[in-house]
Amino acid sequence: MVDRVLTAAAAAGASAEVFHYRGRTNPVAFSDNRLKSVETGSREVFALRVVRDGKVGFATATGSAGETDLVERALATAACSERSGLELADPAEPVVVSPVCDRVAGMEPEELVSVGQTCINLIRERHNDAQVRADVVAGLHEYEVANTKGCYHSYRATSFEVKLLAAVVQEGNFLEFEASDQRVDREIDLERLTARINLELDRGRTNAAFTPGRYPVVLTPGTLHEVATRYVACLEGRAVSTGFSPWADRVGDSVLSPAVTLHDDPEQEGRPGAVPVDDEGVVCRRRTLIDRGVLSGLLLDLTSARTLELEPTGNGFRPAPLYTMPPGPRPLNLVMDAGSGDAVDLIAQSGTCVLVAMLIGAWAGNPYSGEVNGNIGLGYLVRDGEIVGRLKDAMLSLNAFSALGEQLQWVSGDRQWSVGDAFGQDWNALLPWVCVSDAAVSARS
Amino acid sequence: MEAHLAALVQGKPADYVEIRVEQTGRTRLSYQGRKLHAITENEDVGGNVRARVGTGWGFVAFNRFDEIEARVEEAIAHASIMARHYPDGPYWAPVSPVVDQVLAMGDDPRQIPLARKKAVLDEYHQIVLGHGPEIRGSTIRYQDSFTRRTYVNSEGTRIVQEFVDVGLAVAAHAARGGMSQSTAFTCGGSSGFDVIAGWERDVAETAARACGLLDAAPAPGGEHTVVLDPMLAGVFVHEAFGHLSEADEQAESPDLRAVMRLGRRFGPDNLHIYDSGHVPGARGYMKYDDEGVLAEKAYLIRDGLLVGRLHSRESAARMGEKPTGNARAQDYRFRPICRMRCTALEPGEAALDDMLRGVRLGVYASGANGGETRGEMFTFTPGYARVIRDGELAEPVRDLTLTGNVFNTLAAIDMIGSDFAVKDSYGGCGKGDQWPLPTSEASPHIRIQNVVVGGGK
Repeated sequence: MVDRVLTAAAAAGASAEVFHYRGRTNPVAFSDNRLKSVETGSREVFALRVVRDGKVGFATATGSAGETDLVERALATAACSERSGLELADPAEPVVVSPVCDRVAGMEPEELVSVGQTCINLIRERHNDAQVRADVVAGLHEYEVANTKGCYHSYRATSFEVKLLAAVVQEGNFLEFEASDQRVDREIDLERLTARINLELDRGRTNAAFTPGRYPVVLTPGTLHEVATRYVACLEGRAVSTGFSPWADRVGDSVLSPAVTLHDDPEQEGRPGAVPVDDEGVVCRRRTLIDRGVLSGLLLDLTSARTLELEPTGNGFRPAPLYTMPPGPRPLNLVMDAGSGDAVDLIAQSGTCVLVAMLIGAWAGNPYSGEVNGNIGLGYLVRDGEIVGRLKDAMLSLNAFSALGEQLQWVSGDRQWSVGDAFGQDWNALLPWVCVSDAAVSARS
Repeated sequence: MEAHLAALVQGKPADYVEIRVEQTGRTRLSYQGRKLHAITENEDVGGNVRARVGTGWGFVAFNRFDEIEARVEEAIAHASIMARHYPDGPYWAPVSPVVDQVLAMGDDPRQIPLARKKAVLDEYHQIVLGHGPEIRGSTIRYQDSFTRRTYVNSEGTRIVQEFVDVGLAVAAHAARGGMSQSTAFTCGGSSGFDVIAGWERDVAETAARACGLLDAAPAPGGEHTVVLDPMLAGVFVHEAFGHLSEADEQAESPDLRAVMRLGRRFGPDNLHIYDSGHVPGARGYMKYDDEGVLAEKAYLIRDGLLVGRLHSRESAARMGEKPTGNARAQDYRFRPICRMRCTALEPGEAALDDMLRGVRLGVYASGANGGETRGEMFTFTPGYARVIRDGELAEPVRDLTLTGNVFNTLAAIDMIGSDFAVKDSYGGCGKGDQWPLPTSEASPHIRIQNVVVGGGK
């Protein structure tokens, strides 16, 4: 079908690119500690982009659709579009090999059920009042990207994800924490994953009285991931080319603290970001985005690269799992270089501060202002280096540029992976704990 | 097609089987900065099978129809696996089978030429860009879709429903020096393309507000009296109470059930909140939910007291209550779960001026830019906010997020306005992976005491 679509588009005087996805996932879901559903999902999408008379059009179809209709619809949208100078990707040799784990591809439902049950047991053994929701998903995915310039890539990928949410419900006190992990193989460490939850259920049960005001704030890898979405928004090609990004003319400038180095890295062992090409057929490779605080690289797709007169960077992806939107830039894996010292020790030496383990609603708002405002879903008052108790009904406000800029106090040597889940943020991040010298924590008096 | 599907769900080695087939045609236009970004046409056709064997449920979703019978067998096999691990139930509230065909109430947006859609959006884009030199650009997102859903189950229900859905968001981005601000206008509905036409004045106002926000002070952090416009009040009710009312979690959690006991006081005597699918023209409109249950009005709060919840057939059975028609699936890739439709706070008698009067220092917040509920906490972010000072609307403030606790924020509502409007916006509600689901919100202006505002000052 891919060939026929390209041929039909070429016959109509257009250049064309086809992205073809076919995949199968096997999710099992648990809620309130028990198996809730055993499922299979299979999906097949053809996504066509055409360029005719300099105008770009897009159309998608699922499964058994016909190629004539797909081409006609794409050409109709192109006819209505405006001129752009888009050039499709040239053929090129990939450098990254997508790791496929046959063990994951062959996982039967009973095995997935057993993984979920193990996690629930590991949590309930320690917290027998916890209600646990678990989603365990194994997937096998096939991708093809081809265009009329002779570019052709096809690769397979496997995915294995365990997502856990544990809640303890008491009148006036809801305690809840989430931890997930995603790999291409079966090597998710269930003991470590559940230990993250058990730790928060241990220490979240005692509330602390505290005075709203300005505090040093320690962000965990999970909450730093939310703050990091602001940096990603500012590095993203469309925001740069439209001028919305405050980093639009600042490549080569110092934009964050010298203690911050951020990479976009497909080659993180066992991690889902390892793909040979993006959804436009551009080769993916490891790149440094922020080098000791200096802006050194952007996240570009073909369109933004063309507008900015830069080389595309292999970050053009169609939002999964629908693949019905045009490609746009996103990271492969966002990796921050480690600092030094263990987070536990650094916190113990931090005097009085607020440790923020979970944020609610922090994703909303204008990312280019850098403002992060969220309810502290789970956070602790630390006094003399020791956790005194949980903060309730409190909000955190900080500015992402200052927080990892002049306000950055320390960066831990240990790091943790966090899975992206905020509405289309399909990238994972390996991040440390960080301490921000000063942020506003407002609350009910 | 229904006859063929109806035959497939009968005579199977299962206690219940349902099949859903869905076809959607969708058009999207997006503008970024100073240019049209993309026009996309999607055709999405797919289906699913859900089956029950004893106490276990299985679900299979697919894009290809050549082997539906095999998909049915697979769903039944999955259900058997679950049954082995699940001692409880089955939980499945009885409903009478329904045979019905519901044609779209709105005008099919696929009949409108693409050039006309683009012309309307081009004009909005130019209105923003032409506002002034501080406007950096305008992000516009527009989508329309026509969906035909066919649903059959082994109890004899056969329903075909057609849906029209339209949504628009026009954002204005302003910048000066290192400061950037944006705010957006949004609308939507199920009556057809015309619902997004004719908003030139609001779009112009949006551009003016974005520029005004460049001079705005940071939000005043702390506890404040807050007056919400109908759109933001609707989002507040959705986040602060709607999600809590989705009964699937309560149905499985005795602890949560104890906290959500019927008759519990949540707010003042004049507080009434309901959820309904029978709101023609709203994005959340539907005649039946995705289990074939009529999507009738369900009261959640009456006279300030908890009187109901939002049920699926399963949650209703678990709690010994009746289904309310709130079982919805985002699309054929998902099984239905408890979701909202059009969630409304009934009007009272207060006038806006009365709400502002007597507020020495507070916040007037309007529009909606997202929200989230987790556990007992919720947040919601206005599109635009101004200080209320000595009873009058004063200067704008920026980067504001409001937060509260689902158990006590409703009780802090001290005035309910007499104006009432159904408000729709672009995007939709997210729950788990099921996003964006079209929901609608409706409310008058309301005033709430002691809302925690996140802000720098």
